[in-house]
Amino acid sequence: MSRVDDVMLMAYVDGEMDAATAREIETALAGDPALMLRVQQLRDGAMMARGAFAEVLHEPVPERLIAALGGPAASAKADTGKVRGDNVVPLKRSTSWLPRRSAIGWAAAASVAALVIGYGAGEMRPQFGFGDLGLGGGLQNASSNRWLDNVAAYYHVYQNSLANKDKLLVDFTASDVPELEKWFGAKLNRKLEVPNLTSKGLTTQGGRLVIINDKPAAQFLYSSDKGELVELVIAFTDQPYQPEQITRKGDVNIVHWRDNGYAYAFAGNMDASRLQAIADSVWRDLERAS
Amino acid sequence: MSQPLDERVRAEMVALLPRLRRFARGLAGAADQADDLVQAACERAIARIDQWTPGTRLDSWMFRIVQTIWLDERRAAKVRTGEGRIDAAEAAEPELSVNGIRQMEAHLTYDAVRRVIAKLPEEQRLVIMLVCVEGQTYKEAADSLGIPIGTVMSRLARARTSLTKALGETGSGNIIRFDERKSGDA
Repeated sequence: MSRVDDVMLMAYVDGEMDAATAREIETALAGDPALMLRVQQLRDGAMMARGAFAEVLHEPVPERLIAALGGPAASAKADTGKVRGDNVVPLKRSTSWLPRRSAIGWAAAASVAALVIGYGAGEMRPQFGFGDLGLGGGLQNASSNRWLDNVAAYYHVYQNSLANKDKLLVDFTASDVPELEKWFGAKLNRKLEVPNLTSKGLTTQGGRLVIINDKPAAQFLYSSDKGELVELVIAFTDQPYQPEQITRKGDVNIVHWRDNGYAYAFAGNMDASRLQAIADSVWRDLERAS
Repeated sequence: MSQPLDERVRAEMVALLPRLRRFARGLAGAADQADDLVQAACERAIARIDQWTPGTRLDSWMFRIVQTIWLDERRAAKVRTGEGRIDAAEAAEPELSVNGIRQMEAHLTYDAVRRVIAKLPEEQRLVIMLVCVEGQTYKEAADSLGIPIGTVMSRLARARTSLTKALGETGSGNIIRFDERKSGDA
């Protein structure tokens, strides 16, 4: 391809290029440290710009703004008396986590997930026949929304199963992790280490095989003693790099990114800034392991 | 005479307020000025709700109102002062509202980023806020601003070059890796 300029690199970093051109850029990057540095600078700049304004989302919204919309401000008040940007609905606490179950096959787990999603389709609007994970422009957005809808749906499947003490839900314990890493690594065609989030207050609860884009994908589940429930989904994608973005689906915040052929979503019912901070750690751990 | 506002639409508008405030903060700099801008946009949205087509994106429509009011005010200010361009960041220090405990290094870096963005030409400030902060696609930003995608890209590239260069010059990272900077956050 002709010389790669800054605008092209920027479009590549922003996930705005078609897959073929993105591959050409990646080829050019491979032999050019200066270009790689520039890509890193562009990625960092975008993340820093987003991070610089992230706190605004979590500030209480002045009541004068709610009043300007002519609505009953009281109805939108949080405990503090002001609307908060991070009004995540708290997870309904379950008195106990699921009993340990490791005997059910992973193929069965996929069926369980699919069955539950299909059953709840009317409420959660999950969709199968996902389409690609990014196509450019409006299509890219719609498709990205479908993928994130499914991430949220899988989250709710687990959440609901947990609340209902669903006996079919598959989980594993820490002792199963090595086997799980090997099994999912083979399915995802990569070296994989299940991120350990103990230092973040999150305990590994389980993992399941789900289907994204008609291909196997991994879903790992974590919880904290504060009632936080978090999932990490790793799926295949043929789309180019996309920096971290935060999307909210119902009561779930999702940090999602694409890197090196995989789409990642880190979702949970927690404050977006905490979720993003942990997602950064997850990204780093995954990069190190791969 | 505008139509009465559907309560669901009103609720959706209220839910948009944090994002509108973030967008306005990036444009106006100071928190009070940003909230004044959002308030004006809310009032205009309510008054002109019949101009919004149900089924289309309410957030895009309200973002457009915010940017239109901001640009109008900027133009009016230029006329009043006779200056080519007023730099809001020089007139008023960006007010930093910080919740929770963060590392000082992160504060300084984010502070530097906000200052750089506040000093960008307004057309660059708009695109970097829409694309990098709000996560709009180039096409969405182009539609929102009423300009070609190529123009969005060239403005965005200039804005990001300024950001990289300025941060390097201020020593606020050269550029500091986001994940390294936040390593102590979680």
